[in-house]
Amino acid sequence: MYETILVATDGSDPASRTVDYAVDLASTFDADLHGISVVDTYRYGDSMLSGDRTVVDDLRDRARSVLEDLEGRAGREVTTELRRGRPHEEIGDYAAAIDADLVVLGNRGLGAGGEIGSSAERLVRSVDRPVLTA
Amino acid sequence: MTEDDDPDASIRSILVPTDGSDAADAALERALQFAELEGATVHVLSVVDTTANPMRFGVAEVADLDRARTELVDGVVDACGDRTPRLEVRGAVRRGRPAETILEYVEEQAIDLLVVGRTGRGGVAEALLGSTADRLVRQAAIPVVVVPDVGETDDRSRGAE
Repeated sequence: MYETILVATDGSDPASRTVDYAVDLASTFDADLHGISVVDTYRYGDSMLSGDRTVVDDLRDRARSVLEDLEGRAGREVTTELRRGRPHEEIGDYAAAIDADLVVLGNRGLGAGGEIGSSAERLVRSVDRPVLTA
Repeated sequence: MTEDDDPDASIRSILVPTDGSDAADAALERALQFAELEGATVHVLSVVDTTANPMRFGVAEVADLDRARTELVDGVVDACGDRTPRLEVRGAVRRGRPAETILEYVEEQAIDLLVVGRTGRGGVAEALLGSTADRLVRQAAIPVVVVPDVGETDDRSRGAE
């Protein structure tokens, strides 16, 4: 059934609700809970990031605190992963590495802006695992 | 985003749209697993897509489709009932554009969780079912689980029987 659940979070409000959802599911199914936060280097552009290391550092710090928040709220053991790259690729890659039975993510994250939940949509299309968007 | 809806407690009803495909069956399997744990009601909905080719559809054809869909839904509901008799499973057939009709049903029946199948990459079917799943992910106000049509999850659950 659901032995391993992965939640992707970027610290936005919808993602935070998603975290609650994932934590509940993990306890319902008594599953291992993993959390991933991806520093979206693609969105901000390589030139911007390579020119100014503090931008990456800020984003990484933010992602790290998002994962710490997840650990605090989970109330159970949670394995966290911090990555940089294109979110849907990194999330898919990590989901495969841990053989996640379910990937949980917010569909209106920080990157949404005009294109709503683009990471969510790409992930749903590219990952051959059940994906829950909340 | 109100504090009073505890997400765990709120899964009382689960909707699975079905078109009889393997992807829809995979979604149904997941939905039943959820429902068994949560004690939720499962709704099985099939939509007669009257917008697919409006020029070709007469009253008789739509009636035929309705009948076929009703048989499909009845079959699914019976199969679920045999499997887990204590689960409440309801069937429904509606007409319209699939994604819109599914979302209307969600609203009307106060569904808490939507579980939809997605066909594999490539192929003509993806253009139909794939786009419905996309639209639901984008537009649904409730959580959506998209279940891909891949063999191994099926094998695992069948092997356990």
